[in-house]
Amino acid sequence: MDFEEGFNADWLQNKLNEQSSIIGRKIIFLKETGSTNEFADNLVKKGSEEGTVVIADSQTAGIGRHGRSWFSPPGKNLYVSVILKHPLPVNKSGLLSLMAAVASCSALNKFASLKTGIKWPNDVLCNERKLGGILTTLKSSGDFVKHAVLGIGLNINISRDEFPEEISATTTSARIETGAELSRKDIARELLANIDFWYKKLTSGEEEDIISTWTKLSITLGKKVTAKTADGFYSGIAEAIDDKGMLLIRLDDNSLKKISSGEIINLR
Amino acid sequence: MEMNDLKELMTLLKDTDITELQIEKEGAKVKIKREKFFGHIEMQQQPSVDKREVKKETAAEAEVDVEGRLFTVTSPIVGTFYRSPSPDAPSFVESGSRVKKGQVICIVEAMKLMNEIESEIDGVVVRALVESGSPVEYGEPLFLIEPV
Repeated sequence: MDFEEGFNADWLQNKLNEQSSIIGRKIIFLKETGSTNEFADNLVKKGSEEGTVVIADSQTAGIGRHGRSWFSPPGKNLYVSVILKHPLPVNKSGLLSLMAAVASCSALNKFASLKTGIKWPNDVLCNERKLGGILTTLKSSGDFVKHAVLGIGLNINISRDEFPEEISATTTSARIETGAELSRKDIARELLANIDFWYKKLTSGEEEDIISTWTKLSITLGKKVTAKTADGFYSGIAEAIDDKGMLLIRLDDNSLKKISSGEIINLR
Repeated sequence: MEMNDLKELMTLLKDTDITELQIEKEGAKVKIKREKFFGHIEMQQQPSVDKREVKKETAAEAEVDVEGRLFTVTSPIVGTFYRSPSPDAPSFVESGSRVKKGQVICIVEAMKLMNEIESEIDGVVVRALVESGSPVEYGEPLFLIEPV
């Protein structure tokens, strides 16, 4: 099944295999599915191997964080899920989320000549609008990861008037930003090769490379931010991320607040 | 000490004038206290799984938390605790729900990573210890589960 000329599972698998990639050992293309994360979750239950990739041309129930939806029309964008099974220490698993953003930004910046950046922890933004989102589901046993499903949605060729009105002002696509139709297959190949590269770093204990590259791509650090968290709002200067990917905010009273979960709602 | 041992002990004490009894055995400490005139039996087990919760309990609701009897599910990460997959969805489990080993009972989210916490045993949920949407620390008790 080709999503566009030459963009199919065999082509992608061969390209990735040439680089001895863990990611993409098995690739499944779906014309339509509820959500690639759900599909991949079911594959995990059936024992699918590490590195299995699910790519859909459209999702009927694409999911965002905590029940939000991800607009996923056919023929336009990339909806990708990757199955990971390395027993990472669970307290480092947040770095999976961050490395997916690094992989996405790098692929877009290379093939679409864009200047995308990352809003903590992993929103892919271009000119202050959301171009890509990442949602990871994970199961752990004790202090180690059993398996994770990395879900990535990137808006590639969708035009402004195709977005639902309620998200039109806050989202964008590679096409909107560049004015040109882009090849989803090149971006998908680069994205998966990048995930493979960063995942190998993470599983071999070289996570500081992920943190330093994330820092370079960050549009959050150095800014005055407000974080909406489960225990309240915190405003201050986003100073750094720690070795687990948590955001460190220097509050107005000069104390340092560590944020593990929440939303950055204001960047100045 | 097994649940049956404790029940037997309580029955024996009922017909005596003893109002307080403390036993330590194999690292577990059991304290049985009763108000003589009201037949009120209160039990405290240490180490307590969650001191805040135990304090709130009335004697009638007190749990005999014999070490190893109730299983405590703890958070593997620092993050936000959710009892349902989305705000509108029903909770994964309620008090009294029967759970199977491997069944998802809650989510702890950090950095947009939804860590689905599974029950490690077959059992019955005795109580959820944290409100949905609350911040949780590493190792914080989330649920008490009674093995079946």
